[in-house]
Amino acid sequence: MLSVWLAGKPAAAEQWLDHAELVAAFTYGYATFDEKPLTSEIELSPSIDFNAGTHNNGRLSLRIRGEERDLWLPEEPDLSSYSKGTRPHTFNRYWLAELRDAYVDINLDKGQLRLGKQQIVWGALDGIKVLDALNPQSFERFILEDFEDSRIGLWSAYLDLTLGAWRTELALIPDTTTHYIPEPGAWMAFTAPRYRYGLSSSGEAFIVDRDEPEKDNPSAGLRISRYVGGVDVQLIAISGLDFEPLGRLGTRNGTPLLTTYHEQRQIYGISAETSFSAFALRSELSFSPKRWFNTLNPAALNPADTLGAVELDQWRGAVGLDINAPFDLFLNVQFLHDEVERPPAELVRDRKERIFTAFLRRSFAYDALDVELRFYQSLEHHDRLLRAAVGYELNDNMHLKLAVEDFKGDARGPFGQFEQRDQISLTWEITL
Amino acid sequence: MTLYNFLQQTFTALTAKPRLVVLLGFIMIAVTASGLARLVKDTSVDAFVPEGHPSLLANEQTTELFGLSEPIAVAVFSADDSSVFAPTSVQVVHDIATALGELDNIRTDRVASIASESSIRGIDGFIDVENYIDTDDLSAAGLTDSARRWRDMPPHVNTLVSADETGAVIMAELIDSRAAATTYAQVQALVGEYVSDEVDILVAGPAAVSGYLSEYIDADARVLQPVVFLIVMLFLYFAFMRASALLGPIVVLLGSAGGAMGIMAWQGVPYYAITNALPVILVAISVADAIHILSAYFERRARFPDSPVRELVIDSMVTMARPITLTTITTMAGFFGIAVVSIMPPIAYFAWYAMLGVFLAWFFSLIVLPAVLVLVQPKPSPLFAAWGMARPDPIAGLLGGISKAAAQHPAKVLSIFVAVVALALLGASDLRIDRSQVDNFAADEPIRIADERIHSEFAGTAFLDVIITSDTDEGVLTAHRMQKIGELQAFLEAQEHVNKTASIVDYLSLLHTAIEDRPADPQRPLPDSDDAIAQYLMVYEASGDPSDLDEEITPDYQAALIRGVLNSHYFSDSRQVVEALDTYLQNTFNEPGLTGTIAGDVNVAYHWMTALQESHFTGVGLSLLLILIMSMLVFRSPVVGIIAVVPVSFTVLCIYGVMGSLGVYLEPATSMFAAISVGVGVDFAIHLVDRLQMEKRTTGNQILQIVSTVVPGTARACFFNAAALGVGFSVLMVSDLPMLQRFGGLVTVAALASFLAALVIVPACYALMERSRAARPVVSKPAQLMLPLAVALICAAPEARASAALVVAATPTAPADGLQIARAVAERAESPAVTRSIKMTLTDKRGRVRQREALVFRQNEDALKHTRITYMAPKAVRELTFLSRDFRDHTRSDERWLYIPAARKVRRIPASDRGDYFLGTDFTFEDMQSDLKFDVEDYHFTLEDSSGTSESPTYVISGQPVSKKVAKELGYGGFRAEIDAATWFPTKIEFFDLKQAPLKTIEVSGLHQVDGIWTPQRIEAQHHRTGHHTRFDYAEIRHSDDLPDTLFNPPALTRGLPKAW
Repeated sequence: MLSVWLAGKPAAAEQWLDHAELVAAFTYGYATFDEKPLTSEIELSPSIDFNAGTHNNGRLSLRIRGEERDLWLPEEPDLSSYSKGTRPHTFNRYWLAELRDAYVDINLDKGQLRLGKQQIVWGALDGIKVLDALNPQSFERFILEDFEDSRIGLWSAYLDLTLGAWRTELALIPDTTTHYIPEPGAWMAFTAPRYRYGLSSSGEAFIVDRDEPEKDNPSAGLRISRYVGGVDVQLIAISGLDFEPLGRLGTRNGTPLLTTYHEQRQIYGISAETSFSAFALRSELSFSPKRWFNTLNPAALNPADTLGAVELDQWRGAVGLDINAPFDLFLNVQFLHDEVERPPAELVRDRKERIFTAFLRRSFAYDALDVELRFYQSLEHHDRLLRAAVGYELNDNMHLKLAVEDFKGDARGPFGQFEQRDQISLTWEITL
Repeated sequence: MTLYNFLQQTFTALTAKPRLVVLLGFIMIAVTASGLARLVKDTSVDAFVPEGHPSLLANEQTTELFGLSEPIAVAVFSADDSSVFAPTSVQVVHDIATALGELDNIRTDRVASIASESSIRGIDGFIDVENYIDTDDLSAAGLTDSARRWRDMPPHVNTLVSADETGAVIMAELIDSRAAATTYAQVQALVGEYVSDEVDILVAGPAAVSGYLSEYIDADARVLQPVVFLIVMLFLYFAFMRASALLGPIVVLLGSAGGAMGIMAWQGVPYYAITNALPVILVAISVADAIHILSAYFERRARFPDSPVRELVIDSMVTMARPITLTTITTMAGFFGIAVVSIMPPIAYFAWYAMLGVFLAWFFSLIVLPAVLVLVQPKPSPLFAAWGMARPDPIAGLLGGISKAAAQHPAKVLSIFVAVVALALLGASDLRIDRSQVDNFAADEPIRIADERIHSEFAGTAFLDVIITSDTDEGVLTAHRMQKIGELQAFLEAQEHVNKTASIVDYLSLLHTAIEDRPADPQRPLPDSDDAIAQYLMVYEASGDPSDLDEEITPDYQAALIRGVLNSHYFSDSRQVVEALDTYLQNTFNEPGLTGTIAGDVNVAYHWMTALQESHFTGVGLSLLLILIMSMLVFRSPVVGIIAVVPVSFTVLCIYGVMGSLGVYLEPATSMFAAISVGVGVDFAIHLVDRLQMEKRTTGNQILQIVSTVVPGTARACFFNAAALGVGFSVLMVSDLPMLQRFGGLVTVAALASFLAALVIVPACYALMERSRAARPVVSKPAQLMLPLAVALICAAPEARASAALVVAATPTAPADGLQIARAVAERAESPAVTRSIKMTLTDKRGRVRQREALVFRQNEDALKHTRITYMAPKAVRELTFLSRDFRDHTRSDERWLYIPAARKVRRIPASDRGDYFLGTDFTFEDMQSDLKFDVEDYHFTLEDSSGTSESPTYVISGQPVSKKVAKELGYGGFRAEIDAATWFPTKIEFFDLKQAPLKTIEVSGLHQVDGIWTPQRIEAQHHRTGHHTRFDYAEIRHSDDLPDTLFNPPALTRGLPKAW
């Protein structure tokens, strides 16, 4: 065991090793819709924090997952959305390893420079991404795992400086990894046309190919923030690869060919966060000028023209409110409004995409027992996800969690497409 | 977080940016009220019956089969009571009928009068169908002949011309009954041209009544709404004698009345006759909420003139939010009872939108009103000066005196109560349900005079029809069936109030007697053979206008109509007729292939009045039941719930009794008084019960004492509440609509009576309960001995004192030496900054242990205190960091951030209450922030004991929160602490909960000096209720003058702890 090894670590190691940890999680899942066992899974997450000289430090962390059934990433998954340096390693159909963090912090007088594979998290809201747009995300488990687990760390340089009351952060990301979208056949594969370039899930088979993003055009982001009159304000500008893929149709040897590709995009945004008595209010607003979106024209004479793309201005805004409510209840409600301007009729996505979320939590027994209820509702398709979870701290290092997910609604909606993926899972987590 | 703390924080937040809140309130009002531009009216009788109701369908069938629709009746009377068969009268009838036919909304082919109708007579075995009037020949001889022919035509006697020949009527049917108001005005203008010394002309009829009613409502609304508003404002001014007090209530009533009416209009719900009362009700109710809040606010301003206005507003809102919410719920429950039970759309809509308005009044009262108060900061008038000296003003004193007298003599009150209930039941037994459309008009209104005269001179304008349908073509064209129709007519005519009937049988009988050359016979003789019936009709059609009989029989002879004319519109008169007719049809008339269906306006009115009769008492019962359930739940006591409902139930019963005794009947408008009275009238009892319960719970005092303490203030607010309701509803009594006058009067009396009943009955019930308990021989001897002691203890309890301090006067009672010790603890030396590691050991009652390790950094500044806690162990929470800025100004919200390493971002989190427990320990945030120093503004201190040596004394002090508010904030009802005078550290503190039960004990040990500052090594807390134990062991303690700013910079939390730590 790692702790045993750590207990006997040599003196030299003590100087550079700041902290070592191993989190082991065992999960049993059951598909309530199908009424059959879903999977049994082991997840091992070793990590170390280390000192690099007197002033500097760093972190290395891995995640190894093994599942009983080849369910989440069936057979040999196509991981081409990852850059080579970031791509997880598959041992076989059941085991996969991923380097989550590998960075060094160079501490400066006014801040910090972080180099290596890392996650850079901007924005203020929870479970809704408006300005949290510097790292792509793996949708292998849709949004059922926390963003910190599904967000994909990228090889990047990140400078964080405090200049008086101002904080300035600069990120430079040469890594061209984009969102991981599970392939058809995966347990949480997208079936709604909106997330399949407008193509129906039951349509004819395609050969799928991917255009590699250009490597000589790194992504960059700038965030300036300060505390103004009780409000934490952030101004953000991001330019780089659009992680969401576009599609175009063609043929290869007489067989339809769907090629996915990525365009560049810019995001300009502002976020504000404040609290007043029992409430905390968060808001984010972003503008993406001339972002590319897919259009679909099934009546096109030339099949290659069926799937097109169009440049549109996009606004995204979200507000969230935390409430310390009576009876020790914690309530969080959020609303996201995403809209593109002057869309053509053929646009694959909806002109407006609005999502409401609510989260309710109550802790019992001196925070040893947590009960949570999470709710997502798409207002366009009236589909929703309801997630209930109970967590219990067995002792300082052991935690049990029982979670139930229930999807419902229009199969064209982000949540309704998983209506047959209702599940219940029990996780036992040990931290060593 | 307790409800109290939640309210405290919510109102603190709402008053932080008052301009923004008020602006948002006005935007909301503008958006909702803008719907008023879309308001549409529907004042027809049919509107009271749900769409698709059989009675409406029957009327539609009448129109479809026989072309009959709602008429306007124009009656021409000879001025000298001579016969209308005179040239001038006949010419006027002719000219008016012709002119009516040219009006846009009049069906030209459906204008009936002697100028258009014909007589039937037999001449030498032939049929002669001849117009009554030939305008080319208005000679005396010709008109004499016309009169003779008319007298021989029973169907036209008393219909076209009155039986005494002094009046003739013109019935003109409308194309669109919704445009009746305009048509009525046109007809009025038209007939005005023909009035002369020789003829009187009156306009009435169902369509005219409906049209005029619409105009009436318009005129009424234009007058009533501003009058209500002005009077209520005037009243409010007199209640508080401050113009600045009016602004808030204005916003509330605009939000409530404007919002509810606007949303109603947005949703396309029409403005019915009864809707006229809605804004009035909402104005009265919304002002009532504002009065309670303003009273609480002015009371506080008078008592604590030097306190910041915002704090007083917040305290007033926190106190009033609960009773106002409760009364809002009960009022809504009252309307809910009406809404769910009534099948009449106008009443159901009225109730739903009244519920919405009441909700909006609550919303604006709790959200916008406090912001307005903070902005305007109205000062109390001299009226409230006495409150500053803890004495009620004369009104409050008088009301308190009445209540106290009731509590002193509960048996007498109960006796009177029982006697009045018996009398009320007696009177209520005479209560009747009735209505007539013309009762909507005052007795001297021309349309009412016209309607009554037409009713008395002619057969009437209340129509009760029977549609007779057969299942085959020409199915009614048999001698047998015609005979049955004739018998049915005879049955109908035999009923009281039925003046006239007309059907195809009348014409066949006339033809029969004419052809057979027999004298006119009221028995309606008919031929025996089917062929003869058919031939007669053929003869008529060949002799006269074939369309003459369209109103009596369909062209395919499959359906026929009997029109009955009643001389009364009253439900009580027509009810027997409709029921008898229905029984006759079911038992005698209907046969296979032939069915009679009742139709006509009388039938429609019968059905909705019957529904009203059935639903009224169910609605009132349901309202009372809902309110009872709510009260029982809120007060957690069935008995107290019943006490809350008794006064208003008593009032409603009394008013039923008075109505029955005075002959005031229940009709749709007045029927609503009961449920509305239940909803709004129960508020007074709820306010009183709420205050009595709270005082009883916190002090345990005798009811007489409690009544003396709390009733004056509450009763004063209730009095102005009742008076506002009374003033608001009494405005309806100046309405031109008698039904609204009656309704306004009833609710006014109900509001005032409910208040008085609550003022007397509630204290009397409490006194009775107290006596009843005292009389029970269940207390054992030791308990009896303990009882006075317990009462004394309860009376001496900190909450009791705190409560008394809040309610009566702010009179600190702490002895100086206790306060001095507390000050010495509070002024204990501490460094500007401190760093320490802390090991937390949490042990639950089963002995299960959890451990945490953290680094704590604190920096003290003049205005605030920075605290950072970064967890180091266990691994699952490592680097989780909590950062807070706690401002010494309690009105400013503290700021908190949480850094969760796994999420990789810093999150702003809402502030916690001082009394909330800190991160799963047994210490509250206040315990943590204060470093076990007592805030001298939070408690009254008492020195209980002292011991030890003179060099190292130990004091025992106790503290009671200065107010209930502070007690709830802290979560403590008091404490007892042992103070080590050498270090000025409490070595042991026993905290008590709000009920003075032991809550937890904190012990401090290992006191030693670090950098010259006394510092504990261990602090432990034992929670007595949960059995949970928390131990903090401190190490690596460092005092300093300053710590790096980056430690307390929220964004920099993501960088982790600086390498130095």
